[in-house]
Amino acid sequence: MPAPAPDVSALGPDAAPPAPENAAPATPRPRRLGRALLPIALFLLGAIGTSWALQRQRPWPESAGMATKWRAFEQVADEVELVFLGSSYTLCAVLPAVVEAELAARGQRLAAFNLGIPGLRGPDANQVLAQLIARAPPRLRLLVLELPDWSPGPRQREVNDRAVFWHTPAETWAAIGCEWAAHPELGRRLAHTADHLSLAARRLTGLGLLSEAGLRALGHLEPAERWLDGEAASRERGYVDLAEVDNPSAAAGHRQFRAAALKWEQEVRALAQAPRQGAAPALEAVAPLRRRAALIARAPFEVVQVVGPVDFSSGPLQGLVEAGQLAPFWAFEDPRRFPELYTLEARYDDRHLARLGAERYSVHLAARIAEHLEASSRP
Amino acid sequence: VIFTELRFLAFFVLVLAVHWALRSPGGRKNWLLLCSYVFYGAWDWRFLGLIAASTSIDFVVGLGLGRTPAEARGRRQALVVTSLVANLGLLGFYKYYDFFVESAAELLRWLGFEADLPLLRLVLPVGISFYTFQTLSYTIDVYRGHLAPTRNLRDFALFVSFFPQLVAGPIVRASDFLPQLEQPRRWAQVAVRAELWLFFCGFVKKACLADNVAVLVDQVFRDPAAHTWTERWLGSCLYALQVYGDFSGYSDMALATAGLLGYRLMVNFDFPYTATSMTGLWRRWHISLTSWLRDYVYYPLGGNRRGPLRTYVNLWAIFLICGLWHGAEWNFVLWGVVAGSFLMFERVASERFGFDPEGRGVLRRVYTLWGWMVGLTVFRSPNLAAMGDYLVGLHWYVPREGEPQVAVDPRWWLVVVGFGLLHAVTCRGILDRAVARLPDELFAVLLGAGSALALALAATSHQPFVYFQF
Repeated sequence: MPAPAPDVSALGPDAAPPAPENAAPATPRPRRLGRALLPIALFLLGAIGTSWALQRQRPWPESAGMATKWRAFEQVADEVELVFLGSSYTLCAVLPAVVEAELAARGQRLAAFNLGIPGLRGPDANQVLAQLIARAPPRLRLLVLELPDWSPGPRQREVNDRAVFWHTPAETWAAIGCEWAAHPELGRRLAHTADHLSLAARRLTGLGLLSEAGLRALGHLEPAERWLDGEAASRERGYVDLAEVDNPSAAAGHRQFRAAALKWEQEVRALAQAPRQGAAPALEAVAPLRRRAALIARAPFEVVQVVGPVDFSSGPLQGLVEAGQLAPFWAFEDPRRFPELYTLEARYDDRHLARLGAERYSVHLAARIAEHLEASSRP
Repeated sequence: VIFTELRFLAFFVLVLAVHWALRSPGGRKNWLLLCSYVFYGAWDWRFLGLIAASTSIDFVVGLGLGRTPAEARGRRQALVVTSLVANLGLLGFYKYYDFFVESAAELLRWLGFEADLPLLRLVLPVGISFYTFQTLSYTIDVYRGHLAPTRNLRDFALFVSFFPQLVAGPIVRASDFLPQLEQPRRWAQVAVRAELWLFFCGFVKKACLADNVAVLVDQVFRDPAAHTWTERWLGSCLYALQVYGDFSGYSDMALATAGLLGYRLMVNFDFPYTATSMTGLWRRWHISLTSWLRDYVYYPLGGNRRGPLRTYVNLWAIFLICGLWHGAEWNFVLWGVVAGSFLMFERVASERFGFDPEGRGVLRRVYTLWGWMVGLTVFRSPNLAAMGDYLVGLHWYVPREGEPQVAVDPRWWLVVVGFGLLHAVTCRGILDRAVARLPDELFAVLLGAGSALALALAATSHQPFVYFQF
């Protein structure tokens, strides 16, 4: 008696495999080169045409709180006379109410707004500056602009969709130039160039454009947007106290900072000894600063640049000023002159001020603004 | 490098252009072998030695089997055991060493012994589970006399490392692929339009569907307790879409890239979510693995020829292996047990009550999708406690306490409904027929426009293929 045939029904087909999903039947292939190239040309026509149409709909970058903050600014844009623009450093360092009160005490009545945006880097700031110039708030007299880190940085390039927005051919070229000036090692130059080209390709092809919009429509928010919602963005005229928002990564940084207090004190001592004048110009900063200078020249309001009480020395930037390549800026990053801004209780972490530090810094800043306004109003 | 990245498209255009520009078949195969090694080396060049070693061992074993007469059974068995030990040894070492050592340590601790066994924390070489099964299929087929051993090392190395299917399948049989390498490939035989359409569909499944829903799947599975009953169901449904879109999309792209190079790979998916039983679903899901397990494990164990009890044991055994093949975690083992149990249950129902795995009915579809999602929940959960919590929350209504705001937008259900409709339409061939009727020129324009739209809809964070980890 022959052995029963094995039952394979539970395990898969034992006949010829089925036709692939979505497979269309084959078509005859063109023989001549011209006929072969025609479908390629038509394919490119369809792709480029659709991509072009999509690019025209490219929205202002929504990511990481940028649009949230801009919408909050729009609500007061017609009344505001003094704006602070910068990264999360500015966001957590300038209390408009304190600045207004200090200015009022000195006889200057100005309505202020903190337009600090988390993670804002040089090219992003240029984008906001251009937007601000186009918006031309009618009563805006003075824009205090944080001198940011000009390098887009790997984190910024890879995960922040804002970087895609500004990777136009011209900006990409400039960014690559900065990378080559900043990094002597060929490997890093090539890697960063590839990153920029990849972002430029994303911009050119519209990669992810509808995906981001779709996910946003379905309520998906980036981490920064979860803590910088509309209410947080407009409360206290744009200022945010990191201790009062639900930002787990910032809270973790705060705990680490407090646990390593000794390290911070050592860093502050080193910063106090860093050269403050005559340092060699940081060549990588020149090209983008020129691009910003061109934007500032078009602004219908006055712009001053500032370095807050951060954890690095602006010595190289001072070198640029001395070389005539950068307009003078206000510097507050000297622990010897501003020791109260570098105490442990004044800081939330090494990069951000706590409310106490923000109050102290706002007083210093207001004094400087008042002096500046008085000087500029003199005949 | 993954198939949905722009750099892969650039790489593939170069490979394709040079491949067809070369005149000699040998030159083309040399070029493909080089590109395949470059492709694999781009993941981690250190593992090139591993794939080369696996290739060499099976090539030599194959030659040895070819030279050994059928009567010398002992020597032939020794050769095939050498291949099994070497291949499964490498796979076991890289994939299962830590799992078994950790499990042993836990068992010893449970028994009251001190257990501090050394863990290696090795990086799992990408695709090792796939190419190990491929090389094993060659050795076993040669041993069984179903396939003549190849004497061409280049061809054999290309069979093992062919880049379209190297890292995530389909699992190619030597008996399917080696004969293709012996015949010269002709551009005129390539169904360009069909392959481009297949690649496009695969890209949409992976980049536009799977990668986008991954955002919500991660959110729900990361913290199931924070989600309601309906949200957990939504998370499970979307995970089912993610896994299908991810793996089936990858398989489509693998088939299409191989097809454009003139090679045919095994079809891996056949609209699994239209199945009306778990048995039917497994006939349509990861066909290259299930048929591999059927031919090389289930049949040698006796299949269904040794009585019902032995059949059930065999079914369970292959699904246990299937679970372990997917990963060295207990949840994968349990997933295999769950899958095997469903099949066993259906087999009993078939024998006792005449249950037809291919029958029709809404309730049967609901049962199949429910069973599949229960299995996937086991598969996706990070540990047994989380799995238990998720499954309880999936089957008992748990109102969320406290916060009034909705954590998950209910419009996500539209994605599930939209996919269901599209799946139903495509499985009937409606879309394919409509596409096939288009004139070439219109097809080219629409494919271009569709590609631009697909790029715009693609998730910006490239999710690695789910099956890369296996």
